[in-house]
Amino acid sequence: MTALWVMIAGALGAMGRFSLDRVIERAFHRPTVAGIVVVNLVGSFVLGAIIGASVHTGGGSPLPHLSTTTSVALTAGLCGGFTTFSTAMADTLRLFQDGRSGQALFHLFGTFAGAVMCCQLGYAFFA
Amino acid sequence: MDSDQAYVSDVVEQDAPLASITWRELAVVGLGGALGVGLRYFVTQSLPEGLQSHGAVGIFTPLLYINTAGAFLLGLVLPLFSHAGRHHLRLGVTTGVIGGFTSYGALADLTRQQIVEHVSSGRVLLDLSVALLLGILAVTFGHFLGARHIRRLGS
Repeated sequence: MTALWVMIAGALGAMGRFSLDRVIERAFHRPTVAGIVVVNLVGSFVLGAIIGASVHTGGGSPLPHLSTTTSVALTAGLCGGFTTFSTAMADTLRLFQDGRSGQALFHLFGTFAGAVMCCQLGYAFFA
Repeated sequence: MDSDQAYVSDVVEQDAPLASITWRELAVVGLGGALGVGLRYFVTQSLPEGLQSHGAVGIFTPLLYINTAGAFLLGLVLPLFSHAGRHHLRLGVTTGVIGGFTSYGALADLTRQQIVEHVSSGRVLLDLSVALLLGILAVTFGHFLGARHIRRLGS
């Protein structure tokens, strides 16, 4: 049963990623790696928040305590489906192939550093 | 390399039609996403104990294999779809299945856990570099194979 909820949440996450990415590309009026960067940063923040909410012991988190199934569906499903590693790597490759090696390296490591910070922010705020 | 570049540019063009989102696009992405996320969940649940996380928080978790495999697959299929014009199938497979299969947030959380559990900064940097560099190598190798296959079909 948990697997079904994970898949449903994953579908919602993937649709959310696709929508946000497309909205950002439309705002930029050109193909851009910014969409997936924003998706991965936001997704990491939300993941940290959910993990924080699921480990907290009743002390002051703004989020309610989550059952195991809900927690797995939201983390592995929703956030896992929302964020994407493969497209981030393809975007980095695209920057390298365009000859923008500096941007590619910043995209690769800078985005990840940002994602770790967003995750910790979410965790710290909601734990 | 020139022809590789052409393929990537084509993919970029198709990746971003900059049109309004259609219900059909959302449906195929959702369906693919459910399959990809379900597959990741199944893999993480069914890997033998020896391949699961090694005790302390470390990078050699199922996620590393999943993300590396997903990056390779995406690199492989992007050139295959670049001239096919199958917009919805491409979206379902790339954005949906492969995008859902891999997870960036989980990797970020793994690194966050390492930091808060006071794993040495050298180890944290090594682990995250391994994960990211394996990813970029995998997508590059996959793309090389996919583009070569397309070139052979064309010649």
